[in-house]
Amino acid sequence: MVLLKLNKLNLIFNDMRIIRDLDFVVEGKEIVGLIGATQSGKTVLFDLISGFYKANTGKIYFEGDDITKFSVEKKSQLGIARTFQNGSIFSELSVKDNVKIGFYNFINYSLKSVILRSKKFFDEEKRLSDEVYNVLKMFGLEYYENLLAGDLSYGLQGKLDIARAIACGPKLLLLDRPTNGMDKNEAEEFMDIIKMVNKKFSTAIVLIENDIDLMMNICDRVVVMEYGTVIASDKPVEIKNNQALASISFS
Amino acid sequence: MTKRFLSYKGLLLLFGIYLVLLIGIKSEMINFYWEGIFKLALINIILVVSLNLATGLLGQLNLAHSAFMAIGAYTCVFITRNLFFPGFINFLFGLFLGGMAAMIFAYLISAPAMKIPGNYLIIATIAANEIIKDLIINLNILGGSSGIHGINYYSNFSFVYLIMALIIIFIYVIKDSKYGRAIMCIPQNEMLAKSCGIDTFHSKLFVFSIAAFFAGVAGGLYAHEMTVIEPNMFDFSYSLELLAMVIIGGLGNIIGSIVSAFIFSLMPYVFNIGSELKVIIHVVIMILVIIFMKKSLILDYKRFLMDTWSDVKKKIW
Repeated sequence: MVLLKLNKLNLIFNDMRIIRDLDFVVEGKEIVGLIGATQSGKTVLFDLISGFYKANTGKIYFEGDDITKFSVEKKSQLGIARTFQNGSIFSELSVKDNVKIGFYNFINYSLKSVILRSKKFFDEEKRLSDEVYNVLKMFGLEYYENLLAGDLSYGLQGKLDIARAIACGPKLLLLDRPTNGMDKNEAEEFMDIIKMVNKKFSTAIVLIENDIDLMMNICDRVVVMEYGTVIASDKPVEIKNNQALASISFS
Repeated sequence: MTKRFLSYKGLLLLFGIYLVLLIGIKSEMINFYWEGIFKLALINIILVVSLNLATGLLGQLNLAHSAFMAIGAYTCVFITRNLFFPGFINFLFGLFLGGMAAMIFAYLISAPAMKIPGNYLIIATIAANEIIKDLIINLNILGGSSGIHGINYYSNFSFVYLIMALIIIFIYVIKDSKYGRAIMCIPQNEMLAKSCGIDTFHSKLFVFSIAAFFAGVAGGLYAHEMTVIEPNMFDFSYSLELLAMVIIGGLGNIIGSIVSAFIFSLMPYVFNIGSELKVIIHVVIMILVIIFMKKSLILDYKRFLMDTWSDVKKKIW
């Protein structure tokens, strides 16, 4: 089943075509690795999908509906969650509150019940704390729940980042260089977490990564981008052994 | 364990302070002069706490708080004089409508300014402050530069305290909910907040306007306490003074704001210092706070002392 479909997408900045006639498909429940040289438009592609940029031409379909013109908030409510390249945590808030913000779309009480402190408010907050605890436990973060997120190590921040994104209840998760700042062991451990998330929540994941070896084990498919368009899409092994692509310096 | 209603301790403290002050006033241990000063301190607390809501929690630097207050004050006086209900009910309507007027004005200036990325809201608020002041000076219907005299006295101590308590409780209650968390995460990473599904533009607009509403209410109370209002009371330096109190109390720290507003409202009267010296003291303390600590002078004093002590030790050894 096709979850996300980009059709002939074009983005033009100052007469420069950043994204050129890009076609891209993500099936439900698959993990897609996105790879390419710097400035090849990987992060811009994420920005287009999640709504921070609006494409000049072309369409974006999510579960068959046209969502090209939707705002970031609307797309998040539909089930597109993402992380950002340079750390996407709220560093001045506690670990617990970070995940609570992820659940924002799923808390059903009105401003009125907050002010009147009705039963519904307390019930929802109770349910929320339980769910937050479960998510934190899944990522091994439950001991840090009251620490400030900014005080965590890079590895834990990466986990928190994904925990927050999972709390948004995504059908499609866009991870932008999640292993930034981690060493090899941490990165490999992190890939296992991504695999676990994919299995457990049946979430489709698109992953920008600069190390193809890391993606070998977990990705169902690797997509190679150059100059704002997709030049190859195949199994990780095929991509790695493809002589034509060897000249591209991935980063 | 979820908290039932704020914390009982906090509410008890709020009520306890009220009782102590009330007994002082009734037994005339606190005379009429000091009662007035305490009331001004309470009004300042409303202003500083609401400014902290906009500036500390939401991260939108607001330098028009005294202008919002002026709008509230003039609207409240106008409504109270011209509505047909008996006196105090007019005043209640006046307070509410004064707040609403300030809120609408805040909405009008912040909506376009917040559309532009960057800190343009600060410039817009500085301009708004001057515009409002000049407008009042040049409008004869508002008394011009000599202001409005002979306003009825309605702001008695209990009423002012009640309003202040309600506003503090409101802010605490909101801060504890999903709305509060949304407000606090916006200044840290707005793009991330958006991608979590938070409508950041409207949240900012809403909170900024609510803060202006409280400033308007404070203006109404102020007018009916002083019984005289002039445009010069609401000039730019008053906004700066309020901002200094927020920073000294700690950005985003409500209790710190309350304490700093209280201390710095009483300080000029206790030590008998003039308004020029007052501004200097504020600014010097604010600079010290910014240099020496990240958070708050009043609540982080332990850390402040410890840091200074370890610095001194390092230098000596």
